[in-house]
Amino acid sequence: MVSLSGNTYNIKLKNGYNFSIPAESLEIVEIFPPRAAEVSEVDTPVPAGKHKVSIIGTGGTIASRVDYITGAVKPVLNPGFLRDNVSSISEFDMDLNLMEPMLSENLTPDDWIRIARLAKTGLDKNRGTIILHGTDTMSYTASALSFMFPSLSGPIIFAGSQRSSDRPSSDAFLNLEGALEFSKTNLGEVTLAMHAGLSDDRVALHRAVRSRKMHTTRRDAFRTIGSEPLGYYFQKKAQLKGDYRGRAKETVLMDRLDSRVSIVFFHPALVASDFEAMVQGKKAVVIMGTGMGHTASRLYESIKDTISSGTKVMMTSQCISGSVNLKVYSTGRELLSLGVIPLGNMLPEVAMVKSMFVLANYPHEDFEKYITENMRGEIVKNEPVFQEVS
Amino acid sequence: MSSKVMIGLEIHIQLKGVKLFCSCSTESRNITDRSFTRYLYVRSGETGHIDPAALYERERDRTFTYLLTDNTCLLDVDEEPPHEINREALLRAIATSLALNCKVVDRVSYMRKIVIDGSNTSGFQRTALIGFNGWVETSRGKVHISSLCLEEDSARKINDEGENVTYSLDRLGVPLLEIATEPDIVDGDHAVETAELIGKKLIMAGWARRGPEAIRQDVNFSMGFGRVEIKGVPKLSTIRNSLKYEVQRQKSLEILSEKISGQSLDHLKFREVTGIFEKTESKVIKRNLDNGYRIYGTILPALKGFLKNGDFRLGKELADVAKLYGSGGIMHSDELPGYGVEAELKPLVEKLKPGESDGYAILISDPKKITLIEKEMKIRLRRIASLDLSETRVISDDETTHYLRPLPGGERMYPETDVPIMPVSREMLEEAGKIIPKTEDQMIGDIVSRFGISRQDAFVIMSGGHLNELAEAFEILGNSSLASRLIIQIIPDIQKKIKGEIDFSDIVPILKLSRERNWDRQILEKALEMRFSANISLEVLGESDELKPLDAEELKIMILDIMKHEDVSPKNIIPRLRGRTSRLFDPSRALEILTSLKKSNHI
Repeated sequence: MVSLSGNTYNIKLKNGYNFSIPAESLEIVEIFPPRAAEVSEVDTPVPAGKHKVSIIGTGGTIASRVDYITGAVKPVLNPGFLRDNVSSISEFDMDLNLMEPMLSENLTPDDWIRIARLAKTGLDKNRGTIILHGTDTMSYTASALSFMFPSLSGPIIFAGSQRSSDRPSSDAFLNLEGALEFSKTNLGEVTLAMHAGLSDDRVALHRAVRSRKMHTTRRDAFRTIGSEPLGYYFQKKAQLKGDYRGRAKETVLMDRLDSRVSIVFFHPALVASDFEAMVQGKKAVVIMGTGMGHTASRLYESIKDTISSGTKVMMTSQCISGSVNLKVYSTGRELLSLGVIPLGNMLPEVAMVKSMFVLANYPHEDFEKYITENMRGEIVKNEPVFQEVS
Repeated sequence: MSSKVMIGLEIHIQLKGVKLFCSCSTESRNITDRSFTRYLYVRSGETGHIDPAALYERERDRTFTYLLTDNTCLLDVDEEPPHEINREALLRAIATSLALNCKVVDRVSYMRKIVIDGSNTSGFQRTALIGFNGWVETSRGKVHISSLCLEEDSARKINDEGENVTYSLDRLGVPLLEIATEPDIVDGDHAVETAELIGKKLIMAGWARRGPEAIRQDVNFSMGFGRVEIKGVPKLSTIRNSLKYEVQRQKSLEILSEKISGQSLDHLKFREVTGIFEKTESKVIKRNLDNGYRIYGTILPALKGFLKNGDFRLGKELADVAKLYGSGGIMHSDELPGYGVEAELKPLVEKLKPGESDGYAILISDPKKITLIEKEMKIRLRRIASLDLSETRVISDDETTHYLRPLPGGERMYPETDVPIMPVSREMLEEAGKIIPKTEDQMIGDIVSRFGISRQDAFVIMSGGHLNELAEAFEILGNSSLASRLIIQIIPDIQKKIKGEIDFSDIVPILKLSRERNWDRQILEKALEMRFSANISLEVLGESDELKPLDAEELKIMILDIMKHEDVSPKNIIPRLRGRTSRLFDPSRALEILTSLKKSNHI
């Protein structure tokens, strides 16, 4: 087998090794048509089980395989492949809906709306919806859907993977298996099902609006920040705990977002002109301040101007864990007096997504009321002193 | 008729330093108390085919526990992509290719070789072809080298409980040269010679790791019935015996195949016979019944007298299969009554109703596995009947071999997309050219002229792969005969005494102390002994009076004291002093003091 990648020919030797030769050093004498491949993984229809579940493929590693021509990871999703690897798949009647696969870093708020609409259709026909999604921006998309669905007749569960499914050690199948099991439960909110630890024995269910990717590569990269996961899939059982929201009678979708929002990460070299450039044309700005929510006093003037021009300015912390509090230090009190809205322990990205939702769906004058209201559990009331280790 | 015996070798040599794709050391001192558990899924390779060895593993459906060690990082636990390749290892692989007259690839392209027996956390081994088409000259002609690959070593198996296998991660990712020869080797002795010849080059260059697993051989063997790969031959001497065993096994199967070919296997069908064994005397069966296993019986059609009879050992071939699927044991008609099974035989035969030429067997098994075992046994018997004996076998402690898994194919390889294809530049070839392992003679000459030690000592040091240690010891001690004695005698003596390996890096601080304090050979020896036999810390050693020789004044006081109690002479004073103190002293000095004391006493 010979394949061309860039300007290199890769020749597959009988022992399986690839032999790479620069294209310019080869003279092609004759081209043989490729042998008809005997495909071992035949895509046979999967018999339907009794649990109806909608599966939406958006792309990402979970639905990806290596493209041997380019060497890149290419998204695919095929039912036979799932059946071969997820032992419980026969219990489910899968309603597959594959979008044009996208890497999650390329998704925009418009895509969130498309995904939300598909999820609504999926939920109208099935008991739950699973969304296969790249992990990089999974928490953003999931948080957006969380706000866009004030009421859910079943769970929307995002599942991703940190090791592509062409690897024997892929985490994709266990995550999907966990998501499938959670889709049977009474859950009625938007969540993420991802590995809880290094072992292939436990999947954690995270509330979308408290979830965050906290490691670039580990399979347990996702964490619930400031609280416990909503449940675990362990020993083939999905168990919910704590204050999860149950299924509602019907699913309501509010599919409008205003994407004129930005995040400003404050740092010691940030000057007023940087800030001004970043908030230009925005209707809301989430600052990731230092510590309990501070910025340098050199920005006050710009912040004040931004607020008086009608742009909402909010404060979150770049510490990620813990609440902002603008009443402890004079810096904080100063920012408060300028009209900065403190967001407690709401995660910065969640605050950004929520701003898009609030701007598009509520009157402008009520912005502060809604942005600070705990709509979907995005604010943790009592942060536990000790976090339970799963 | 069997054709000519063909033997090829795959020699695996670990390179010391750091791991292939991260900066963890190749050496480990401990296993931590942390572990994690994984499952591996079967994947198809680049060509869309699933490898037979991988499929077989899937059937076994096992979980794997990995123990973390002090030389593991996120890469070893499959939680991040490979880092930069270990350039030193790559250069050494290129240099070894050149030393073995191989052509070197223009571009190094790493592949993932799917191995889902759990020995790699990722489920694949990263491997790349570095050299090919080489040869070595042996006493019985050229042995051609088909390939030299630089790969990641696998994890070390600690425990195998059938459904759960435990591995330690210390060995995972250690750079491993895999050198494969063509089947040019004519017999066991020749195999040993070839393996030694190649292994020595790396040992003498000081590149190979030490320890029992540092060099392992797989033997490829064929006598016309398909290729058998015998895995994990640890010692060269076992190559001979394992080959002898394999020839004998295949010869007997050749005869057997004629007798069983064409025989229908429809009657090989396991039926549960647990009821017959309810009151069994057999300890093995009792124990397994307590663990939830059941007893199954089957006819073995037309196999009576072939299961265990003279050279015929078909029973073992079947037992190998059963064991791989976690069976608690198999007993067959050629060895029954036995194992505490006697009274049950009558009802058993009544139930199974074997024909005159039929054998029968009872199998202790997990009920979930019985269908699989039956299927695999039939496959095995059919292959023996058609004399297709190709498979992977593993060597046991008694130097016999047993079935491990089907032979893997090229289907198990696909490109490692996380490691870019690396061109082998002219600079790299030049750099590698400078470090090509020399011939034995050249190396001995170099050592003799560099350190001024004897050819014999140079040979011993080199064969043991201790050249780097010699150089380091010489640099610290500034005395080549002491350095050489340290390597050849002092360290091996202490290791023998403590029955363990001493890491040279632990010796270095003592050598430095020795240099600082101007110790002579005896004190250094004593210090090493105290450190490693008595486990005395380096700090305590530094302060120890034991390591300070008795000075003239101390000697004088001690001799005077001895003179008070007994008659001393130059003949007995040294043993008397040694009886009194464990500290070192200069015997000629003691004699001088005694003589002068005696003189002054006379006056």
